[in-house]
Amino acid sequence: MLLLAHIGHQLIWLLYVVPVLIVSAAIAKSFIAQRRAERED
Amino acid sequence: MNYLPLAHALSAREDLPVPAWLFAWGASIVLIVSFFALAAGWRSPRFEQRHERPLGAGLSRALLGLPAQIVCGLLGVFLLGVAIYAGLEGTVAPDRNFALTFLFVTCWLGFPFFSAILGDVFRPFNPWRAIGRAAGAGFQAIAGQRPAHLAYPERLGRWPAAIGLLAVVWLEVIYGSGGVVLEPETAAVAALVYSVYTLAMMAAFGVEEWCDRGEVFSVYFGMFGRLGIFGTRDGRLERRRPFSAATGWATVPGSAAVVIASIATTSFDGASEGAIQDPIETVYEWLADAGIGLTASLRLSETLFMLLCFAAVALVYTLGVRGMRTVPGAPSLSTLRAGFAHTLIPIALAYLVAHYFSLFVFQEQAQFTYLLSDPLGTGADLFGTAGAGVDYNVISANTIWYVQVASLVVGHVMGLMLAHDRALVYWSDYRKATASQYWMLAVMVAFTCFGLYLLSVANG
Repeated sequence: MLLLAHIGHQLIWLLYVVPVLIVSAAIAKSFIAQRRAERED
Repeated sequence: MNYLPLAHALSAREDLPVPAWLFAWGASIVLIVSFFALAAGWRSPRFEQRHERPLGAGLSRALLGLPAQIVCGLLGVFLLGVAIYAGLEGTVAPDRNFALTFLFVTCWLGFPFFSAILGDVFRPFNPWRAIGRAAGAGFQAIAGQRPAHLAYPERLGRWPAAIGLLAVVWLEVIYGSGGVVLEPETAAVAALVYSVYTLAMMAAFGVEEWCDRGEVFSVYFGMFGRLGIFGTRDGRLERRRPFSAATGWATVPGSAAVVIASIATTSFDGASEGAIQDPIETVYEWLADAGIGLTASLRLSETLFMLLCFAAVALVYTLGVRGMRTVPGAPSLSTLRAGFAHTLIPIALAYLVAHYFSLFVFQEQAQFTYLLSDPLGTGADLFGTAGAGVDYNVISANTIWYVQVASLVVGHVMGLMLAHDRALVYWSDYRKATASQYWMLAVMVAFTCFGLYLLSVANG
Protein backbone atom coordinates (compact mmCIF):
# COMPACT_ATOMS: atom_id res chain seq x y z
CA MET A 1 0.00 0.00 0.00
CA LEU A 2 2.82 2.33 0.94
CA LEU A 3 4.55 1.60 -2.36
CA LEU A 4 1.35 2.30 -4.30
CA ALA A 5 0.85 5.57 -2.43
CA HIS A 6 4.42 6.54 -3.26
CA ILE A 7 3.94 5.72 -6.95
CA GLY A 8 0.69 7.68 -6.90
CA HIS A 9 2.50 10.68 -5.51
CA GLN A 10 5.28 10.37 -8.11
CA LEU A 11 2.85 10.07 -11.01
CA ILE A 12 0.59 12.97 -10.07
CA TRP A 13 2.14 14.95 -12.94
CA LEU A 14 0.30 12.66 -15.36
CA LEU A 15 -2.96 14.29 -14.32
CA TYR A 16 -1.54 17.67 -15.40
CA VAL A 17 -0.54 16.26 -18.80
CA VAL A 18 -4.04 14.97 -19.64
CA PRO A 19 -5.44 18.35 -20.86
CA VAL A 20 -2.33 18.89 -23.01
CA LEU A 21 -2.74 15.43 -24.54
CA ILE A 22 -6.44 16.00 -25.25
CA VAL A 23 -5.82 19.34 -26.98
CA SER A 24 -2.81 17.96 -28.89
CA ALA A 25 -4.80 14.90 -30.03
CA ALA A 26 -7.68 17.11 -31.20
CA ILE A 27 -5.26 19.30 -33.18
CA ALA A 28 -3.53 16.27 -34.71
CA LYS A 29 -6.91 14.76 -35.71
CA SER A 30 -8.02 18.01 -37.32
CA PHE A 31 -4.65 18.37 -39.06
CA ILE A 32 -4.84 14.84 -40.52
CA ALA A 33 -8.45 15.37 -41.64
CA GLN A 34 -7.47 18.64 -43.31
CA ARG A 35 -4.57 16.99 -45.17
CA ARG A 36 -6.82 14.15 -46.29
CA ALA A 37 -9.43 16.62 -47.59
CA GLU A 38 -6.71 18.53 -49.50
CA ARG A 39 -5.48 15.30 -51.12
CA GLU A 40 -9.01 14.30 -52.15
CA ASP A 41 -9.59 17.74 -53.71
CA MET B 1 15.04 33.34 -3.21
CA ASN B 2 17.25 31.37 -0.96
CA TYR B 3 17.44 33.74 1.95
CA LEU B 4 13.72 33.25 2.35
CA PRO B 5 13.50 29.61 1.38
CA LEU B 6 9.86 29.06 2.23
CA ALA B 7 8.60 32.30 0.79
CA HIS B 8 6.43 30.54 -1.76
CA ALA B 9 4.73 28.40 0.84
CA LEU B 10 5.13 29.66 4.34
CA SER B 11 2.23 27.55 5.47
CA ALA B 12 0.69 24.52 3.86
CA ARG B 13 -2.52 25.06 1.94
CA GLU B 14 -5.67 24.19 3.78
CA ASP B 15 -7.98 21.71 2.11
CA LEU B 16 -9.05 22.93 -1.31
CA PRO B 17 -12.58 22.17 -2.48
CA VAL B 18 -11.17 20.03 -5.32
CA PRO B 19 -7.73 18.45 -5.93
CA ALA B 20 -5.07 20.83 -7.24
CA TRP B 21 -4.83 19.01 -10.58
CA LEU B 22 -8.50 19.72 -11.27
CA PHE B 23 -7.60 23.42 -11.34
CA ALA B 24 -5.35 22.60 -14.32
CA TRP B 25 -8.26 20.90 -16.06
CA GLY B 26 -10.54 23.85 -15.28
CA ALA B 27 -7.94 26.34 -16.52
CA SER B 28 -7.58 24.34 -19.75
CA ILE B 29 -11.34 24.46 -20.28
CA VAL B 30 -11.29 28.25 -19.74
CA LEU B 31 -8.55 28.52 -22.38
CA ILE B 32 -10.43 26.34 -24.88
CA VAL B 33 -13.67 28.29 -24.38
CA SER B 34 -11.75 31.59 -24.73
CA PHE B 35 -10.17 30.30 -27.93
CA PHE B 36 -13.51 29.55 -29.55
CA ALA B 37 -14.99 32.81 -28.29
CA LEU B 38 -12.11 34.66 -29.97
CA ALA B 39 -12.63 32.64 -33.15
CA ALA B 40 -16.33 33.49 -33.20
CA GLY B 41 -16.26 37.15 -32.26
CA TRP B 42 -12.84 38.62 -33.15
CA ARG B 43 -12.44 38.71 -36.91
CA SER B 44 -10.15 41.67 -37.57
CA PRO B 45 -6.96 42.88 -35.84
CA ARG B 46 -7.62 45.32 -33.01
CA PHE B 47 -4.22 45.87 -31.48
CA GLU B 48 -2.18 46.64 -34.58
CA GLN B 49 -3.58 50.11 -35.20
CA ARG B 50 -2.55 52.94 -32.91
CA HIS B 51 -5.02 53.77 -30.17
CA GLU B 52 -3.08 56.36 -28.18
CA ARG B 53 -4.79 59.37 -26.69
CA PRO B 54 -2.39 62.19 -25.72
CA LEU B 55 -2.76 63.45 -22.18
CA GLY B 56 -2.71 67.12 -21.23
CA ALA B 57 0.38 69.14 -22.16
CA GLY B 58 0.72 70.43 -18.58
CA LEU B 59 0.70 66.91 -17.14
CA SER B 60 3.26 65.77 -19.74
CA ARG B 61 5.52 68.72 -18.91
CA ALA B 62 5.26 68.03 -15.19
CA LEU B 63 5.99 64.31 -15.47
CA LEU B 64 8.38 64.25 -18.43
CA GLY B 65 10.08 67.65 -18.25
CA LEU B 66 13.75 68.15 -17.40
CA PRO B 67 13.17 68.87 -13.66
CA ALA B 68 11.22 65.61 -13.27
CA GLN B 69 13.89 63.71 -15.23
CA ILE B 70 16.62 65.10 -12.97
CA VAL B 71 14.71 64.31 -9.76
CA CYS B 72 13.84 60.76 -10.85
CA GLY B 73 17.36 60.11 -12.13
CA LEU B 74 18.94 61.38 -8.91
CA LEU B 75 16.57 59.25 -6.86
CA GLY B 76 17.51 56.17 -8.91
CA VAL B 77 21.25 56.85 -8.49
CA PHE B 78 20.79 57.53 -4.76
CA LEU B 79 18.88 54.29 -4.14
CA LEU B 80 21.40 52.25 -6.13
CA GLY B 81 24.13 53.90 -4.06
CA VAL B 82 22.33 53.07 -0.80
CA ALA B 83 21.90 49.42 -1.87
CA ILE B 84 25.58 49.09 -2.82
CA TYR B 85 26.73 50.83 0.36
CA ALA B 86 24.43 48.68 2.52
CA GLY B 87 25.74 45.57 0.78
CA LEU B 88 29.38 46.52 1.33
CA GLU B 89 29.17 48.06 4.80
CA GLY B 90 26.04 46.54 6.35
CA THR B 91 25.37 43.34 8.23
CA VAL B 92 26.09 40.02 6.54
CA ALA B 93 22.65 38.75 7.63
CA PRO B 94 20.76 38.72 4.30
CA ASP B 95 17.32 39.32 5.81
CA ARG B 96 18.51 42.33 7.87
CA ASN B 97 20.37 44.07 5.06
CA PHE B 98 18.60 46.56 2.76
CA ALA B 99 20.56 45.46 -0.32
CA LEU B 100 19.12 42.04 -1.13
CA THR B 101 15.45 42.81 -0.54
CA PHE B 102 15.72 46.11 -2.39
CA LEU B 103 17.54 44.70 -5.43
CA PHE B 104 15.90 41.27 -5.75
CA VAL B 105 12.37 41.92 -4.49
CA THR B 106 11.44 45.61 -4.55
CA CYS B 107 13.10 46.34 -7.90
CA TRP B 108 13.31 42.94 -9.59
CA LEU B 109 9.66 42.10 -8.89
CA GLY B 110 8.17 45.53 -8.24
CA PHE B 111 9.09 47.10 -11.57
CA PRO B 112 7.54 44.30 -13.68
CA PHE B 113 4.34 44.36 -11.61
CA PHE B 114 3.88 48.14 -11.79
CA SER B 115 5.16 48.46 -15.37
CA ALA B 116 2.58 45.94 -16.54
CA ILE B 117 -0.13 48.26 -15.25
CA LEU B 118 1.27 51.76 -15.78
CA GLY B 119 3.83 51.40 -18.58
CA ASP B 120 7.61 51.58 -18.40
CA VAL B 121 8.10 53.14 -14.95
CA PHE B 122 11.75 52.05 -14.70
CA ARG B 123 13.01 54.27 -17.51
CA PRO B 124 12.92 57.59 -15.58
CA PHE B 125 14.50 56.00 -12.49
CA ASN B 126 17.15 53.97 -14.37
CA PRO B 127 20.37 55.02 -12.53
CA TRP B 128 22.72 54.00 -15.35
CA ARG B 129 20.69 55.89 -17.95
CA ALA B 130 20.72 58.96 -15.69
CA ILE B 131 24.51 58.76 -15.23
CA GLY B 132 25.06 58.11 -18.94
CA ARG B 133 22.89 61.05 -19.98
CA ALA B 134 24.56 63.35 -17.44
CA ALA B 135 27.99 62.26 -18.70
CA GLY B 136 26.88 62.85 -22.31
CA ALA B 137 25.59 66.32 -21.44
CA GLY B 138 28.85 67.09 -19.63
CA PHE B 139 30.88 65.93 -22.63
CA GLN B 140 28.81 68.08 -24.95
CA ALA B 141 29.25 71.13 -22.70
CA ILE B 142 33.04 70.70 -22.62
CA ALA B 143 33.76 69.44 -26.16
CA GLY B 144 31.00 71.41 -27.88
CA GLN B 145 29.73 68.32 -29.70
CA ARG B 146 27.75 65.20 -28.96
CA PRO B 147 29.81 62.09 -28.12
CA ALA B 148 30.39 59.76 -31.09
CA HIS B 149 29.30 56.14 -30.77
CA LEU B 150 29.91 52.86 -32.54
CA ALA B 151 27.11 51.44 -34.67
CA TYR B 152 25.29 48.76 -32.67
CA PRO B 153 25.47 45.39 -34.49
CA GLU B 154 21.91 44.81 -35.71
CA ARG B 155 22.17 41.02 -35.47
CA LEU B 156 23.14 41.25 -31.80
CA GLY B 157 19.71 42.71 -31.07
CA ARG B 158 18.52 41.97 -27.54
CA TRP B 159 20.71 38.90 -27.06
CA PRO B 160 22.98 40.70 -24.53
CA ALA B 161 19.87 41.42 -22.45
CA ALA B 162 18.68 37.81 -22.71
CA ILE B 163 22.05 36.48 -21.57
CA GLY B 164 22.20 39.14 -18.85
CA LEU B 165 18.76 38.11 -17.63
CA LEU B 166 19.94 34.52 -17.24
CA ALA B 167 23.03 35.80 -15.41
CA VAL B 168 21.01 37.91 -12.94
CA VAL B 169 18.74 34.99 -12.10
CA TRP B 170 21.76 32.68 -11.87
CA LEU B 171 23.27 35.00 -9.25
CA GLU B 172 19.99 35.26 -7.37
CA VAL B 173 18.85 31.64 -7.47
CA ILE B 174 21.86 29.42 -8.16
CA TYR B 175 24.90 31.21 -6.73
CA GLY B 176 23.27 31.37 -3.32
CA SER B 177 21.81 27.86 -3.21
CA GLY B 178 22.42 24.75 -1.15
CA GLY B 179 23.43 26.48 2.05
CA VAL B 180 25.79 28.94 0.34
CA VAL B 181 23.98 32.14 1.13
CA LEU B 182 24.07 35.01 -1.36
CA GLU B 183 25.69 37.61 0.85
CA PRO B 184 24.75 41.29 0.57
CA GLU B 185 28.39 42.06 -0.20
CA THR B 186 28.34 39.72 -3.22
CA ALA B 187 25.20 41.40 -4.53
CA ALA B 188 26.78 44.84 -4.04
CA VAL B 189 29.97 43.83 -5.87
CA ALA B 190 27.83 42.36 -8.68
CA ALA B 191 25.92 45.66 -8.87
CA LEU B 192 29.20 47.58 -9.09
CA VAL B 193 30.59 45.30 -11.80
CA TYR B 194 27.32 45.57 -13.74
CA SER B 195 27.40 49.38 -13.40
CA VAL B 196 30.91 49.57 -14.88
CA TYR B 197 29.94 47.21 -17.72
CA THR B 198 26.73 49.11 -18.48
CA LEU B 199 28.37 52.54 -18.48
CA ALA B 200 31.13 51.22 -20.77
CA MET B 201 28.53 49.84 -23.20
CA MET B 202 26.61 53.13 -23.08
CA ALA B 203 29.81 55.01 -23.89
CA ALA B 204 30.44 52.65 -26.80
CA PHE B 205 26.96 52.42 -28.36
CA GLY B 206 25.01 55.34 -26.91
CA VAL B 207 22.74 55.53 -23.87
CA GLU B 208 19.36 55.04 -25.53
CA GLU B 209 20.62 52.41 -27.98
CA TRP B 210 22.06 50.29 -25.16
CA CYS B 211 18.96 50.78 -22.98
CA ASP B 212 16.77 49.58 -25.84
CA ARG B 213 18.90 46.55 -26.75
CA GLY B 214 21.45 45.43 -24.20
CA GLU B 215 20.76 46.85 -20.75
CA VAL B 216 19.16 43.94 -18.93
CA PHE B 217 16.86 45.86 -16.61
CA SER B 218 15.67 48.38 -19.22
CA VAL B 219 14.84 45.63 -21.68
CA TYR B 220 13.28 43.33 -19.09
CA PHE B 221 11.15 45.93 -17.29
CA GLY B 222 10.41 47.72 -20.58
CA MET B 223 9.03 44.45 -21.98
CA PHE B 224 6.39 44.35 -19.23
CA GLY B 225 5.86 48.09 -19.66
CA ARG B 226 4.50 47.36 -23.14
CA LEU B 227 1.42 45.86 -21.47
CA GLY B 228 0.70 49.02 -19.48
CA ILE B 229 -1.71 51.82 -20.26
CA PHE B 230 0.68 54.80 -20.38
CA GLY B 231 3.43 55.54 -22.87
CA THR B 232 5.30 58.46 -24.32
CA ARG B 233 5.66 59.77 -27.85
CA ASP B 234 7.57 62.87 -28.93
CA GLY B 235 7.93 63.96 -25.32
CA ARG B 236 4.21 63.71 -24.66
CA LEU B 237 2.50 61.36 -22.24
CA GLU B 238 -0.28 59.31 -23.80
CA ARG B 239 -2.85 56.79 -22.74
CA ARG B 240 -3.15 53.66 -24.82
CA ARG B 241 -5.16 50.46 -24.99
CA PRO B 242 -3.73 47.88 -22.53
CA PHE B 243 -1.45 45.33 -24.26
CA SER B 244 -1.51 47.25 -27.55
CA ALA B 245 2.11 48.46 -27.32
CA ALA B 246 3.28 44.86 -26.99
CA THR B 247 2.63 44.27 -30.71
CA GLY B 248 5.67 46.34 -31.71
CA TRP B 249 8.07 45.00 -29.07
CA ALA B 250 9.55 41.92 -30.70
CA THR B 251 10.78 43.55 -33.91
CA VAL B 252 14.39 43.51 -32.61
CA PRO B 253 16.34 40.21 -32.95
CA GLY B 254 16.73 38.32 -29.67
CA SER B 255 13.44 39.61 -28.21
CA ALA B 256 11.96 36.10 -28.19
CA ALA B 257 15.01 34.94 -26.21
CA VAL B 258 14.35 37.60 -23.55
CA VAL B 259 10.75 36.58 -22.94
CA ILE B 260 11.59 32.88 -23.11
CA ALA B 261 14.42 33.44 -20.60
CA SER B 262 11.92 35.17 -18.29
CA ILE B 263 9.48 32.23 -18.36
CA ALA B 264 12.28 29.66 -18.13
CA THR B 265 14.05 31.22 -15.15
CA THR B 266 10.82 31.60 -13.18
CA SER B 267 9.93 28.01 -14.04
CA PHE B 268 13.35 26.85 -12.93
CA ASP B 269 13.09 28.70 -9.63
CA GLY B 270 9.74 27.04 -8.95
CA ALA B 271 10.74 23.61 -10.26
CA SER B 272 14.03 23.45 -8.38
CA GLU B 273 12.03 23.53 -5.14
CA GLY B 274 10.00 20.49 -6.08
CA ALA B 275 9.39 19.09 -9.54
CA ILE B 276 13.04 18.74 -10.64
CA GLN B 277 14.65 18.56 -7.22
CA ASP B 278 15.43 14.83 -7.54
CA PRO B 279 17.07 15.02 -11.01
CA ILE B 280 19.16 17.99 -9.84
CA GLU B 281 20.34 15.98 -6.83
CA THR B 282 21.17 13.01 -9.05
CA VAL B 283 23.37 15.14 -11.36
CA TYR B 284 24.88 16.83 -8.32
CA GLU B 285 25.89 13.45 -6.88
CA TRP B 286 27.43 12.37 -10.22
CA LEU B 287 29.49 15.54 -10.36
CA ALA B 288 30.49 15.35 -6.71
CA ASP B 289 31.50 11.69 -7.15
CA ALA B 290 33.60 12.75 -10.15
CA GLY B 291 35.73 14.84 -7.79
CA ILE B 292 34.26 18.27 -8.43
CA GLY B 293 33.83 20.30 -5.22
CA LEU B 294 30.44 20.17 -3.52
CA THR B 295 29.51 23.83 -4.08
CA ALA B 296 30.71 23.76 -7.69
CA SER B 297 28.80 20.50 -8.29
CA LEU B 298 25.59 22.03 -6.99
CA ARG B 299 25.99 25.19 -9.04
CA LEU B 300 26.89 23.21 -12.17
CA SER B 301 23.92 20.86 -11.82
CA GLU B 302 21.49 23.73 -11.22
CA THR B 303 22.98 25.74 -14.10
CA LEU B 304 22.49 22.73 -16.37
CA PHE B 305 18.82 22.46 -15.40
CA MET B 306 18.23 26.18 -15.77
CA LEU B 307 19.57 25.97 -19.33
CA LEU B 308 17.42 22.88 -19.92
CA CYS B 309 14.37 24.88 -18.77
CA PHE B 310 15.29 27.59 -21.29
CA ALA B 311 15.62 24.96 -24.03
CA ALA B 312 12.31 23.33 -23.05
CA VAL B 313 10.35 26.61 -23.12
CA ALA B 314 11.99 27.53 -26.44
CA LEU B 315 11.10 24.09 -27.82
CA VAL B 316 7.41 24.36 -26.83
CA TYR B 317 7.20 27.82 -28.41
CA THR B 318 9.00 26.62 -31.56
CA LEU B 319 6.60 23.67 -31.88
CA GLY B 320 3.67 26.09 -31.72
CA VAL B 321 5.23 28.32 -34.37
CA ARG B 322 6.15 25.36 -36.60
CA GLY B 323 2.57 24.16 -36.36
CA MET B 324 1.37 27.51 -37.71
CA ARG B 325 3.62 27.05 -40.74
CA THR B 326 1.43 24.14 -41.86
CA VAL B 327 -1.53 26.47 -42.41
CA PRO B 328 -1.73 27.62 -46.07
CA GLY B 329 -0.55 31.20 -46.60
CA ALA B 330 1.76 31.22 -43.59
CA PRO B 331 4.75 33.58 -43.65
CA SER B 332 8.29 32.32 -43.08
CA LEU B 333 9.30 30.56 -39.89
CA SER B 334 11.54 33.43 -38.78
CA THR B 335 8.67 35.91 -39.31
CA LEU B 336 6.33 33.76 -37.25
CA ARG B 337 8.93 33.22 -34.52
CA ALA B 338 9.47 36.96 -34.08
CA GLY B 339 5.87 37.86 -34.87
CA PHE B 340 4.36 35.88 -32.01
CA ALA B 341 7.07 36.44 -29.36
CA HIS B 342 5.12 39.30 -27.78
CA THR B 343 2.25 36.91 -27.05
CA LEU B 344 4.48 35.33 -24.40
CA ILE B 345 4.82 38.57 -22.39
CA PRO B 346 1.53 38.14 -20.46
CA ILE B 347 2.60 34.56 -19.74
CA ALA B 348 5.95 35.72 -18.38
CA LEU B 349 4.07 38.18 -16.17
CA ALA B 350 1.61 35.49 -15.07
CA TYR B 351 4.49 33.21 -14.08
CA LEU B 352 6.12 36.05 -12.13
CA VAL B 353 2.91 36.88 -10.26
CA ALA B 354 2.14 33.22 -9.60
CA HIS B 355 5.59 32.40 -8.25
CA TYR B 356 6.53 35.59 -6.41
CA PHE B 357 3.30 37.34 -5.43
CA SER B 358 3.46 36.04 -1.85
CA LEU B 359 7.18 36.77 -1.52
CA PHE B 360 6.58 40.32 -2.72
CA VAL B 361 3.73 40.89 -0.24
CA PHE B 362 5.75 39.55 2.68
CA GLN B 363 9.11 41.13 1.87
CA GLU B 364 7.72 44.58 1.08
CA GLN B 365 6.51 44.74 4.67
CA ALA B 366 10.16 44.34 5.68
CA GLN B 367 11.32 46.77 3.02
CA PHE B 368 9.09 49.61 4.18
CA THR B 369 9.51 49.02 7.91
CA TYR B 370 12.71 47.73 9.49
CA LEU B 371 14.88 47.66 6.36
CA LEU B 372 14.05 51.31 5.68
CA SER B 373 14.77 52.38 9.26
CA ASP B 374 17.84 50.18 9.66
CA PRO B 375 19.24 49.60 6.16
CA LEU B 376 22.63 48.38 7.35
CA GLY B 377 21.22 46.16 10.07
CA THR B 378 23.35 47.89 12.69
CA GLY B 379 20.59 48.82 15.12
CA ALA B 380 19.67 52.23 13.69
CA ASP B 381 16.06 53.45 13.73
CA LEU B 382 15.84 56.28 11.20
CA PHE B 383 12.04 56.36 10.84
CA GLY B 384 10.92 54.64 14.03
CA THR B 385 9.93 51.42 12.25
CA ALA B 386 12.99 49.28 13.02
CA GLY B 387 11.06 47.16 15.51
CA ALA B 388 8.32 46.15 13.06
CA GLY B 389 8.11 42.66 11.62
CA VAL B 390 6.55 40.74 8.77
CA ASP B 391 2.96 39.58 9.25
CA TYR B 392 2.79 36.24 7.45
CA ASN B 393 -0.93 36.00 8.14
CA VAL B 394 -1.74 39.01 5.98
CA ILE B 395 -2.74 36.56 3.24
CA SER B 396 -3.72 32.93 3.71
CA ALA B 397 -2.12 30.04 1.85
CA ASN B 398 -5.40 29.38 0.05
CA THR B 399 -5.63 33.02 -1.09
CA ILE B 400 -2.11 32.72 -2.49
CA TRP B 401 -3.15 29.60 -4.41
CA TYR B 402 -6.24 31.31 -5.89
CA VAL B 403 -4.14 34.33 -6.93
CA GLN B 404 -1.66 31.95 -8.56
CA VAL B 405 -4.37 30.09 -10.48
CA ALA B 406 -6.11 33.33 -11.52
CA SER B 407 -2.88 34.95 -12.72
CA LEU B 408 -1.95 31.92 -14.81
CA VAL B 409 -5.39 31.67 -16.39
CA VAL B 410 -5.70 35.42 -17.11
CA GLY B 411 -2.12 35.62 -18.42
CA HIS B 412 -2.65 32.75 -20.84
CA VAL B 413 -6.02 34.03 -22.04
CA MET B 414 -4.31 37.40 -22.73
CA GLY B 415 -1.56 35.54 -24.58
CA LEU B 416 -4.17 33.73 -26.69
CA MET B 417 -5.86 37.05 -27.43
CA LEU B 418 -2.63 38.68 -28.62
CA ALA B 419 -1.78 35.61 -30.70
CA HIS B 420 -5.24 35.55 -32.31
CA ASP B 421 -4.96 39.25 -33.10
CA ARG B 422 -1.53 38.79 -34.70
CA ALA B 423 -2.75 35.76 -36.68
CA LEU B 424 -5.44 37.95 -38.25
CA VAL B 425 -2.61 40.15 -39.59
CA TYR B 426 -0.84 37.22 -41.28
CA TRP B 427 -4.00 35.42 -42.48
CA SER B 428 -6.69 37.79 -43.67
CA ASP B 429 -9.15 34.86 -43.81
CA TYR B 430 -10.22 34.53 -40.18
CA ARG B 431 -10.83 30.78 -40.59
CA LYS B 432 -7.19 30.23 -41.52
CA ALA B 433 -6.10 32.54 -38.71
CA THR B 434 -8.13 30.47 -36.27
CA ALA B 435 -6.71 27.23 -37.68
CA SER B 436 -3.18 28.56 -37.15
CA GLN B 437 -3.97 29.28 -33.53
CA TYR B 438 -4.87 25.69 -32.65
CA TRP B 439 -1.13 25.28 -32.20
CA MET B 440 -0.82 28.27 -29.91
CA LEU B 441 -3.78 26.93 -27.91
CA ALA B 442 -1.76 23.76 -27.31
CA VAL B 443 1.23 25.89 -26.24
CA MET B 444 -0.92 27.91 -23.82
CA VAL B 445 -2.57 24.82 -22.33
CA ALA B 446 0.88 23.25 -21.91
CA PHE B 447 2.31 26.34 -20.18
CA THR B 448 -0.76 26.64 -17.92
CA CYS B 449 -0.73 23.02 -16.81
CA PHE B 450 3.05 23.07 -16.36
CA GLY B 451 2.85 26.25 -14.28
CA LEU B 452 0.09 24.85 -12.07
CA TYR B 453 1.98 21.59 -11.65
CA LEU B 454 5.10 23.47 -10.50
CA LEU B 455 3.07 25.50 -8.03
CA SER B 456 1.16 22.53 -6.69
CA VAL B 457 4.40 20.65 -6.03
CA ALA B 458 6.18 23.67 -4.54
CA ASN B 459 3.22 24.56 -2.33
CA GLY B 460 2.83 20.98 -1.12
